[in-house]
Amino acid sequence: MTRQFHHQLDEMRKHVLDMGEMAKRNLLNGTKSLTDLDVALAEEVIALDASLNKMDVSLEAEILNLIARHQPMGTDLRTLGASLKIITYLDRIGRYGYDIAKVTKEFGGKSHVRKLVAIPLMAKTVGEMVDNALLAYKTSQAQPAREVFAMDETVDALYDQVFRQCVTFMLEDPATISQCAHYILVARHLERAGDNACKVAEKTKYMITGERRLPNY
Amino acid sequence: MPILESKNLNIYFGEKHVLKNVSLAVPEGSITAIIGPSGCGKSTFIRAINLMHDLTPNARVDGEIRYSGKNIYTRETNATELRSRIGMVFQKPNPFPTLSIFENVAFGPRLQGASRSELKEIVERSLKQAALWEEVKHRLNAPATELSGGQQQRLCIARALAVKPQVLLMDEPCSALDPIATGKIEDLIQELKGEYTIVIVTHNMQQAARVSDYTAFFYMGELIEFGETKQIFEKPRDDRTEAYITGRFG
Repeated sequence: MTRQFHHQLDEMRKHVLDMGEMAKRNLLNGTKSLTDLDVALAEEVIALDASLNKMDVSLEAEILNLIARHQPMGTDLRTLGASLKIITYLDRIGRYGYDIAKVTKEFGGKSHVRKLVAIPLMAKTVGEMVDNALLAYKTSQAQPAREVFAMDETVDALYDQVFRQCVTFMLEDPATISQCAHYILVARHLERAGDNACKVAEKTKYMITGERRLPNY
Repeated sequence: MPILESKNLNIYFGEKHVLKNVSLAVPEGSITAIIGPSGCGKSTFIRAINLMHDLTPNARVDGEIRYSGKNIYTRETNATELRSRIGMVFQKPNPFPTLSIFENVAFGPRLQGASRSELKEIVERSLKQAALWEEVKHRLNAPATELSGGQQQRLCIARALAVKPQVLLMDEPCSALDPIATGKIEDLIQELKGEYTIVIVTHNMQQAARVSDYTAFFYMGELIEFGETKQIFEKPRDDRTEAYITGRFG
């Protein structure tokens, strides 16, 4: 019974990792669809969001089933408790990809005000944050999760940069307002995705060490 | 001051060293669970609190068990008196088979010299405390053996409570009971908390997690870890505790 439980727990962890990869891919592809103004890619991301949602629902059921059947303790309990939260954060990260893909579609044939630099960089950084958090989750080593919090500062700084640049553009040329408003929205989505990656890291760290990180406010 | 405290407690059965240097303080009014694999010494420990090894041939006890600050392992200790202060409930319900429900509960107080009217009052109070009164109040003179296993166990708890102990020791009190009867005993344990100090030995970790404030993990005669139940089951400090509670032992 116990061996079967630990096998099921390992399977559940693999499913969480799969979900994390999918969430990250959706966020990166959503951003790429905007950068390249690739509507077909945006459609793909939008379609994949439903699969991500299904994974969230089925993993929640899987986790609750394991808790109900085995009443786990110690690391096992923390793994299941943390995973139950992590899947919500991953779902949100993927959902931001969907939201950005929607923006791509709303661009409606308009071109970019200028080549996008900070927004793809934000997405790349958030992708690395998710990678680090998932690596910690996979290997039960807290160090990669700790690095995520420092990376989030880069994302926040990039968000400020996009915001300021957009305001400048809009003041200089009101014809750019529509695009710039979208850029600010997208940067905000990416900044929030970064925060969710931090939550994944935080819960993973709790799963590994049993220590809870108090919020900085 | 803890109501119960063992200090460097060692117990030997012949050559076998079954309890090794156990030092453990039980806070008053709390519920302390003792968990550990079979043969880890948890029952040996709880029985030592009730001086039960006095009856075991070849048993030797070294170290101290302090009850209300006084070592009970001295010649001055009156075992009968001590057992009226520290009651015990066993794995299998063991009511006196030839006595009625009433007489089972009245047995201890009668020995202590309670009057007939006092006995009536004590029996009713004890059965109420043991959450059995409503089920037996119309058949107090029926033989105790007519009761179900769960009811018999609550009767044994009522019998232990009748002599007004301060401490209640429970050695696997639910292992012979079905989940409904187990639930009733667990509810009862919660209700008795505060007024009594309860030490419960259990094989069932989930039960320890459900009912206790503190948990002690024993392994191979040693106390490995003692702490708040929440901490033991969420984030144990010792790898052996972690291995045991997650079923990764051995």
